[in-house]
Amino acid sequence: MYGLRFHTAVFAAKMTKKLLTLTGRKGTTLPGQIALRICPDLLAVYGKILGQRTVFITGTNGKTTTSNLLVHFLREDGRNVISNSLGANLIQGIASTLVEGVDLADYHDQAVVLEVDEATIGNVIAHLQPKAVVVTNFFRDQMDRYGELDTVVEMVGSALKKAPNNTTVILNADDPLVTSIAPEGKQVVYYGIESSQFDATSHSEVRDGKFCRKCGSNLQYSLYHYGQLGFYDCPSCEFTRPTPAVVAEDVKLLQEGIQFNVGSVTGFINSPALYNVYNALSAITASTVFGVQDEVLVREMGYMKTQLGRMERMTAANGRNLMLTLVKNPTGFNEVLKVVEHETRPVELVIILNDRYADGTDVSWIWDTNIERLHQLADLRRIYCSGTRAEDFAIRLRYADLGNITELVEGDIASVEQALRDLPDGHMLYILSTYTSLYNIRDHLLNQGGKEYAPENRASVS
Amino acid sequence: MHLKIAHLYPDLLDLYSDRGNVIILQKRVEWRGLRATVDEITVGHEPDLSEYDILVLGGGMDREQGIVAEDLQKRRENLQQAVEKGTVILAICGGYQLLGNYFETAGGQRIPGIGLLDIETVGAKVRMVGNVVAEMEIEGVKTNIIGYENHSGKTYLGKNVQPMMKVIKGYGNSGEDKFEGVRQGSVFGTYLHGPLLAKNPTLADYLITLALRRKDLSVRLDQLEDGLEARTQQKLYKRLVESR
Repeated sequence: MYGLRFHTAVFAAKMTKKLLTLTGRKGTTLPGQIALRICPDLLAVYGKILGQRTVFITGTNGKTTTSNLLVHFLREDGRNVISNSLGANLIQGIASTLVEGVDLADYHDQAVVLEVDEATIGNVIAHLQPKAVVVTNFFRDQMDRYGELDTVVEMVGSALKKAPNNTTVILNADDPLVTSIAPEGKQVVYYGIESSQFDATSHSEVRDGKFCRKCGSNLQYSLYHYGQLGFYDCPSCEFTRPTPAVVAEDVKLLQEGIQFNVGSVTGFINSPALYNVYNALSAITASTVFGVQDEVLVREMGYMKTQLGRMERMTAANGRNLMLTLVKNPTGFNEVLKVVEHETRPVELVIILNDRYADGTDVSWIWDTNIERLHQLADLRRIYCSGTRAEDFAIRLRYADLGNITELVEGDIASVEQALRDLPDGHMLYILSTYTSLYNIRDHLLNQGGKEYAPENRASVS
Repeated sequence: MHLKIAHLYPDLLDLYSDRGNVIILQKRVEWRGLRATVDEITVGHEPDLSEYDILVLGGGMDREQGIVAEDLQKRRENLQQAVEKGTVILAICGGYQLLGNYFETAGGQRIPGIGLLDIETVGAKVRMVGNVVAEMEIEGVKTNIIGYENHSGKTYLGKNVQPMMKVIKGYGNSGEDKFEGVRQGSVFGTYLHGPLLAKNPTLADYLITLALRRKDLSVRLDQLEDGLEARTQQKLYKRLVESR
């Protein structure tokens, strides 16, 4: 027994969830909100019940993909896993996930994987006492909600200090903003990329965290992966890229995805974007902290699937090939452009830009994308713009001298329909969408008879 | 004719994609068959700023703004000289605040500006965030301006400056007086991102015209096809103002 309040809260939340489901709604936040109102220390009770079988994943990009890969590894290892896989990562969503998932009669084998919003982690970490916390990266994103990037980094940094002393902190060694918040006195494990075909010794991309957060000097780089991620070193103090314990080497782009080596194991992800290597590395590192069996991990690393709507290949009902991906900030967008650039078939694009709350209400960020890079594509036919801020993107394209192939279409689904209808056979359609249209588009494509892409054979798995 | 643009502190004041303003100014000059070049100037570079026709400053984070505030002090006289020679200055958000008399943080610490604009800014706890619709008189014609603000500093005007725009929707300088931005001669300061010039081509052309007048008083720009921007303005005006 955990007290009457707790049980009342859980009961009320479960009833709410049932009612919401009956009326056809997903109910990812309301049940938790009700439970927290009835029992304010709900999360602390769950923290005791779960006794350090919880892992948090936070950071700007890659939370959802990392969570899903980790959930997959844990399930393959035979664990009973609870997660907020629909991305409800604020406190109410986390409470809803726990109320729904934790089996109060039999919880000893349950593990919990939670992606946690950067502004929320400080409010939940002391209660839930995670066994491990993963920090993926920090990029400028949704400044309408958080203000400055420094504020976000600071929030997560102070949350890590509040974690129990035996929590393992898993950090991206290549991001100086992330490593700057490594907490003292706690076990820290780093992961990073050693070598990749995308590496450069200089670049002109928008780069956050140019300055050492310890002393303010300009960080020096011997190598860039993308954004501010790479091999950095402060010329004025001892701040430098820590040596990662888990490393990816020889990252290579293949037709079907991306390949890399971790020690003697070759990993493969079915989605060709460099950032997914980081997502895989952080999930692999967290799996080892959780004691996932080596043979399970090695087997599953050979073919990893990223989740829905993240550089996801699909075949439309009319047989046309397409790729659907979320875009929400300049760094992520620029990484998608690099993949598009490698396309050998003639290319058409749909860009859906919305400015609803979940998308971020400020669309200025599109001016920090290197959309001009599209000129390097040998055969770029057309760019459709849609969404609540379609015109803003069309203006951006005009100033990138791409206005002559830009077409505005009213309605997100209508734009995809039109693009697919007019797409010649053998051409490739890339659909880039902000958050609030992503799943609508995906559901629509499947409802119309489209299919998730299934490779005929698992290429390149060694 | 050749328009010389300087983008000041592109590495430090780069938070809200204000570099778009530089792209827009350059393209709109080039599309008229004129030449436009952009120099990036930051800490450690010491060119004569009065050689430039337009100077552009964006917004940045507190830490970076501190570095710029210090460096700008060294350029105070040079900037004064530039303004006397008619150089147009467009300063956004953090850059705008730093051209004023001072910025007082919420904690009461006073960071001196360079006094190029007669304004004072005081840090507040609540951020003013969201879309802005405003009205600006450009060469006698009332023109709608649409942008996006995200600031916690409240800016108050001294007696030597005029507000640049009147707020129709949004907070503006302080959220108290319906003013947005300031104009003092050829110096323009505003909180509006978007970037500012993206949806406001009339303002972009006005700044270009003012800058070109340094060389040729009779300069007139050819009209460009800005139908897309006009439609975008109408759509947003309807959504942000009329359907409130």
